[in-house]
Parts: sequence; C-alpha cells; structure tokens
Amino acid sequence: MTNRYPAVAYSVTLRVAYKNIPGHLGVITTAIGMVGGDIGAIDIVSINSGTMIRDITVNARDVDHGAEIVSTVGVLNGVSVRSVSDPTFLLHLGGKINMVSKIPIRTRNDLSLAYTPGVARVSMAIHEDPSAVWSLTSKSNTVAVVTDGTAVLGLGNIGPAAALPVMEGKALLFKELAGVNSWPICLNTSDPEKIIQIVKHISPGFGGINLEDIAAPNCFYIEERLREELDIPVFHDDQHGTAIVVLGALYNALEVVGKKIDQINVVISGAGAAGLATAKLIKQAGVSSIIGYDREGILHSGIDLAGHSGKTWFAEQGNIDNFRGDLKGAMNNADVFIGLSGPNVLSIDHLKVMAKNSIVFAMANPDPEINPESAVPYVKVIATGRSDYPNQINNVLAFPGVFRGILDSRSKGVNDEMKMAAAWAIASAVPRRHLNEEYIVPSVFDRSVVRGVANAVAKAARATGMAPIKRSKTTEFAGLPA
Amino acid sequence: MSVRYPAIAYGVTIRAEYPNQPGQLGSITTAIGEMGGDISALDLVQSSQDKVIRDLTINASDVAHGQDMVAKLKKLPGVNVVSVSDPTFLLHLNGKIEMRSKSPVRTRNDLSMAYTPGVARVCMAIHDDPESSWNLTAKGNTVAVVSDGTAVLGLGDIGPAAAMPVMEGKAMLFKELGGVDAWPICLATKDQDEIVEAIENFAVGFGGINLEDISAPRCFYIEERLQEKLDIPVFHDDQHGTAVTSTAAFLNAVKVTGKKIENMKAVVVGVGAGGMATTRMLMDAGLLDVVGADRQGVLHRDRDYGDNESKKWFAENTNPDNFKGTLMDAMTGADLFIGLSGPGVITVDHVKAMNKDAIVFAMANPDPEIYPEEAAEYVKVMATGRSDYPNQVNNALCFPGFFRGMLDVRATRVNAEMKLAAAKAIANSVPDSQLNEEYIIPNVFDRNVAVSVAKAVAEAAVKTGVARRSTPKAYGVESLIK
Repeated sequence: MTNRYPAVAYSVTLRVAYKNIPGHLGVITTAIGMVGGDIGAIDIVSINSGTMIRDITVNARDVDHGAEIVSTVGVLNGVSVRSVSDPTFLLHLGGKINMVSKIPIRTRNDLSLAYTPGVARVSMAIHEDPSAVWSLTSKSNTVAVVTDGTAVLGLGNIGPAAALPVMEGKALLFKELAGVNSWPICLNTSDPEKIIQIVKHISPGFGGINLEDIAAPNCFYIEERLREELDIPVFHDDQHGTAIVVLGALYNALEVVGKKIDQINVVISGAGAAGLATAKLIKQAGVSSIIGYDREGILHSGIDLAGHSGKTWFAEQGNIDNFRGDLKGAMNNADVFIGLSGPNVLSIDHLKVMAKNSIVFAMANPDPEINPESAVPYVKVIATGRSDYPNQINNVLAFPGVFRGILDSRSKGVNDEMKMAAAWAIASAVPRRHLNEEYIVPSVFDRSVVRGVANAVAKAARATGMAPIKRSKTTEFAGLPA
Repeated sequence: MSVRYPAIAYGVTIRAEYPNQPGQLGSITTAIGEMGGDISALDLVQSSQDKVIRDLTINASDVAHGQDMVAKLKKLPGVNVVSVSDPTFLLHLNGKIEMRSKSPVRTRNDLSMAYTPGVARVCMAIHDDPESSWNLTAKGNTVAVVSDGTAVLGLGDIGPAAAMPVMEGKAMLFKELGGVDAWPICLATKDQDEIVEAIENFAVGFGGINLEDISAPRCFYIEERLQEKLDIPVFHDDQHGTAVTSTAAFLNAVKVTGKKIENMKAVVVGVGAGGMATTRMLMDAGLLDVVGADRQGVLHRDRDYGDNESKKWFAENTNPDNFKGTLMDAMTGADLFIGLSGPGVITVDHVKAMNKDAIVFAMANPDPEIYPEEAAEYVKVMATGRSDYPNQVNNALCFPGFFRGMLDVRATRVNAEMKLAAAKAIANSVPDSQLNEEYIIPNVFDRNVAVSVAKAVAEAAVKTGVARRSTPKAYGVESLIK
C-alpha cells in the first residue's frame, strides 16, 4: 500500500552492545536510517570495559518493517542485539487503568466513616431515597464501557478478552479527557438477549452505559432495548460518536465551501452501524438527499432488503428520488461523499463527476476509500480517519464530552438534539478565522472541545426535557435536621 | 442504649453562631459535655467584635444522640445553630472511589500506543494467546466486588443501589490493604441463576470474583455454580472472610484462656452465610460441641428446614446431643459464643450463664449481639466486628491479603487449605509475647497482616495445585508494606 510514515505504534526498542569506539554508533544509526527507520530515544544502559550497551527506540511503518530494522542491525559487524522490546506492549503490561480511593483509610476513624459502622447510615439513606445513590456513591460519574468483542476496531469478532485493551484505552480516554470514571465490562456472550439482561443487571452502580464494538445488526437492537428499559443513558459510540464527529466536520466543511446543509446531495458508502447513524443524524440536521451504497450496490426500493432495517432506511428515507443507477451515477453532481466502508471504493473518475467544491470524507481505517494524495486535485475538502493527514475525524472528539455533559446534567438519555448540539460544539472549536479546507476538525488534544461538547449536550438535554431544568448542586441527604 | 461510647461514625458538625463574649463557648461545650457528647474539632469559621461562628464536630453515641445535642444547642440563650452537617455523609459525597489511567495521554504518540492503531496489535496478541490477557490488561490485578444487596451488613435486603457505599468501601480496603484494584458491581436481580449468568459472562476482565452481602442460602448455590464455571477464584467474603478471621481470633482466644478445643462447648447464633462457614471451619479446627440457633431457635435434627439444604447440613453435623432447649439453656455452661446475627440477640443474663473464662464474639454489624460495655465484666475475651472496640474481628484482615495471594499466583479457585493457611497467618500476626484478652487479633492497619496472608495463601494455592504459576511475582507483596 501507500508509503506509510514510521509511527510510534509500530516502534521497537533494541538493546544493542558494541565496542565503544568513535563512529560505531554512527554505523548503527546510518543502517537504521537506510532501511527507513525513524530513530526516537537513544539511551545508555551501561558502559563496561570498552563495551557500550544502549537502548535504541526506532519507529517503524509496521510490524514487518520493525523486524526488518532489527535484522539489519543484527548483521552489522561488531554489533550484537541483546534484546528487542516493543514499547506498545510494555505500555500495556499490567493494564492501563486502575482503581484508587479518593480518601485514604489509615486510621480507625477513617474506617468507621467510610466503612462500618458509618457506611450503614449512608446505605439506609439510599434505601429510603433511591435517588440519593447519585450523590452518595460514585454512580454519578461512572460509565460502564460494555462490549461483546464482536466488532473490535477493524479486527472483527476477536472475543471479549482480546477486546479488553481497547476498552481500557477507551476508559483511559474517558478519564484523561473528560474526568469520567469508567470500567470495562467485556461480555463472554454475543446473544443479544443475554447482553441486554446482563447490562440491565449491572446498571445500578453506573451513571451511563457506553456500548462499544458490538457488531451490527445486534448493536441496534441491544441499544434500542436498553434505552427503553434503563433509566440511565445508553450510547453506542460506534454509531453516535461517529455520526456526531462527521456532522461536526460537515458543518465546517460546508462553511468552507459556502454551501447550505439543506441544499446538498450526499452519498454514503457503508450502511453499517456508523453509516446508518450518520445518515440519520445528518438527515435530522437538514440534509434531504442521502444515497446509500453497500455490498448490494446503490440502496433503493427496487432491491430486496428484507430483514435489514438499516439498509431499508437508506432505500426509503435517504434515497428520496429512488435513484437506481451505479455508484458513479450517484456521485454525479453529489456535493458530499461520506465513506465508512473499505479501502479504494472510490476512483478519481468518481470525484470528477461530483458537484463543484466537493467534500469527501474517506474514513475507512487504516486505508481510506480513496488515497488523499490522489483525491486532492479534484475536491475542495478531504478528511480521513487517520492522524497522519489533515482533518482527522476521530470519535475521541465526541464521546468524552458527550458523557461529561450527560452526567453533569443527569440526562436520562441521548437524543438527536443533544447529538447535533455536540456536533455543533465540535465544529465551533475550530476558530472561524482559522477555518480552511485543511482545518475543519479540531485536534483531539484541544481540551476546549470536551468542555464545549459537555456544555452543549447538557444545555440541549435540559432544553428537550431529557434532564431536569435545574439540578441542585447541593446534595440532599437523610442527615440530621438543621 | 446509653452505655455506648460516642463515635465519629455518628458524629455531627454543628455550625453555631454566638455573641463574642467570655464564657459563651464554655457554656456551649459544657452543655455538650453534660449530654455525653465527645467534642473533637472546634474550628473557627468567622469572628468579629460582636459574634463568633464555629464548626463544632461532636462524636455521638448514635443518630438520636446527635439530634438531641443539636436540639439542646438551639435552646441555649444567644446561640444560633446555622447548619448541621454529618461528616459520614460529607465523606460519601460523589462516592469514595475513582478509576485512574496509569499512563497519561497527552500527545498523538501516547494515543497511538494506548489506543488506535497500536492497541490493535495487543488485542491480536490476546486473541492468539488468551492467557496473555493476564499480562497485557488490568485483569491480573482486578477483582469484581459483586452484590445483589440482599444481605447488606446487618441491614438486610436493602437493594443493589443502597449496597453501593458498602461495596465502594470494600473496594477501598482492597486497594489500601492489598494493592488490589476492585470495582463494585451491584446487581439489579435477586434471581440466583440470573446472578450466576451475569457474573459468568462479565468475569473475563477480572482476576477474581468477591461475592458480597448475598443472602443465604442463595449465596451457597451462586458461589458453587460460579466456581464450577469459572477459571478464576470465587470468594464469598461473608462466608470465608468471616470464617477465616473468626478462626484466627478463635485460635488466639483459645491460647489466652488455656481452654482445650475438644472440650469446648460453643453456641453459634445466626446460621446464614457467615455462621455456616465459620462453624465448618471451627469444626475443621477441632471444635466438637457446637449448637446453632437461628430466629426459630436451636437447630436440631427434629426440626423441618424445608428445602434449606445448608440448615439441614448444619442440624445433621452439629449439636451432638440433639439438644432442643432455649438459647438460655444452650448458653448455660458454654465456653464460646459466636454471634453472626443481629443486634441485642443476647443479654447480660445469657453471658452470666456461660462457663468460666467465656469467649464472646458478638460480630453483628453495625450493632453487635451484645455491647462490650455490658458483657465485659462477665467474659474473659470479648470481640466484636466494630472498629471502635478492642478485638475487632474484621474481614478486612483477610480479604485484601487473600486476594493479593490468589492474584499473585493467578489461582484458579479457593480451597480449604488456603483458608486455613490464611487463618493461621492472621493469628500468628499477634506476637505471643503481646497476646492478651484485649489483643487476640491484629490491628486492621497492621500492614504485615496482608503480606503474611498473601504469602500463606499463595503458598497453599501452589501446594494444592490451584495456581497458574508457582512463584508470585508481578505485583510483589512486599510493595504493600508502607
């Protein structure tokens, strides 16, 4: 595929030993450079009787490239590779998250307040007034990150244990970016009825449920049922997180090209969980014509989509003129292409027939629907899901702030208004004067995004009756009468 | 109940405003003292020429006592009670635990290792070798603290939400004393098969399951079924934690009183989870004459126990003379009383009727079967479950070290050898030279206890073939000593 840049995610750390004579390190670094390795840290481990031992960390393009770098160094004269480690795996040793007490328990007094006998009165206060669980426990700031491991990243059905590192990563982002406590719950069943029941059963200690990496179409059913049956918000990030960030990027892209959202024609490739949620949300936001494209071709009322409610939605609600041609026909005069499918779905010919000042979001990971380098001459705005091109459309921009806002307002759910408000907040995080075709999405490390999204979500929740208009900041509890 | 000492667990903080005149504070503190309040902090909030505002923190004997003192202060001339707060509730606001990330995510490089794309390789490594999830995720140091809220402390069936503060307290103790990351999972179902199904399916991410405050006899069924299905230890603390700690206290009380175990007569009141497991373990330790009693009276072989298998077992295996009298009759001449029932179940008369050098473990929480102030003069050794009296028989002496040891060797289950090893480790933590009737059990804050228990449990697990690895390493118990 394309020449990827060496990245830290594929880095290797080589512990090398060599004679400590001038020029020897130069030989090693030159050899690494020749094979395209990008050297990061070079640390001294020890110097002993003329032998130098160093740790050299090298970014590689992928796993094979890392192995190539190791073998290149290994055959150098006078150099021995003592060991090779992988920074990504080292970072994962023992996991990425832990639990800590907010208050130390060092004395009997601490213990008698936080645990028995003091805790008994707190428990009884919740027993008498169940809503007190929000103020007297960690529930109000804690989210369960739930998966069954059936659709993990682009890796597919790898099972619940293998999904754990992703869920821990998600939990880590929740905390680091939004201060939300979350704990991964990986379920060893992919039976939707069982998943629904188990999530319902574990819900009392959580203030929200983030569903993650559950394959379509189960994810739609599971989310819908849980929304109906739980009194805490349920949010399937693969659907709504993606939809929110795409809409945010779309708002800004449209401003850059000077088009109105209710006057554009959109083609979406990929009618899975993310594609459908995105289509529904941009429809709510004002887009009228959304033509869906999937394995069956263009989704229209003339093909049998029985039993596939998502694809049927595209045929009935999105394809309003009941267009029945091919992808190239659909792209004809389209203003926006949204790809949530696979690599190389698009060719330059598709881009050439689009309307003037076209917008292409090619978000398939890791290889987009069309290589940005080849698309650039034919489109006005291009965005991908990758961090090594401008305009990265990344869910990390949405979910931390969305949950922060939900929890702060004690919203009982997430509706379209809240999602649109989140999208608008993401778009607004790019200062207007900086807005241009290569900067339509804020950086994931822009801390103002979370705050903006959280405030927007909370406000929309209150405005639409999902959250109480005013939540008393003071906590009422069954203490002593004043 | 006026004999009880004022305790911080029933403390009140009264914000009082009074004229800035000599003698005013004296009249307030005198009034509190006359009512038996124990003043701890006297913080100045505000002071001007004509008035003073102070926060008076006063330990009370119980909730009513605190309220009485507030009422009394309100009536004092010149004193205005501005507000009353409750330190126990203040400490619980927003919960007692949080989740933290172990590595910061500040840059794209951090993100690309902890999350996409780097995390994908870690996922696949676990997919290829599921055992590596012990190394590459938080599983190896994480325990789920699971309750359905049906038997919380001595409070009974108060539901999963009301159980949360107790489970959070438990999680704190796990971390503080055992270095174990524990997360509370409170289940919104009482159906024992649904509980088994939920835990069985979410266990993937945990290295052990601590069952907590689940009522008998359901707890026996749930624990047994889960241990059959799972390859990680399932430990019902109310049974085994109580049994291990009580046995430790028993071994030392026997030493102090010089009684011969085989000649002792014991009465166990409360044959739920704790009573059942403790009785079994004490009998394993050599106790022969045990009579049990529940709400219906003494358990003997001519009573009908319906389908309660555990009580049937109890009646058949204890009470060698098939004694059928009253509790008073049973207590007459008894050497040992084990109370795992409810408040005030026995009176001074019961204690008076016991044998010389009687041992009384009144472990009901938060209010014991009899208060030490009442029983003290008639017994040789008195222990309770409370932190505000000597000899606290507290599960916290067991479970942190027990799980530390199990996680360190990646144990697959709990067995009797591990429990006995833990009991002996706890008992031996009290040096013989210091052993006396008021010191039969180590302090909960003696950091060496968890270390000794962990080592003993790990060793027993390895010896009995239930350990995945023979040398504990990853976390190292020594790190617990602060």
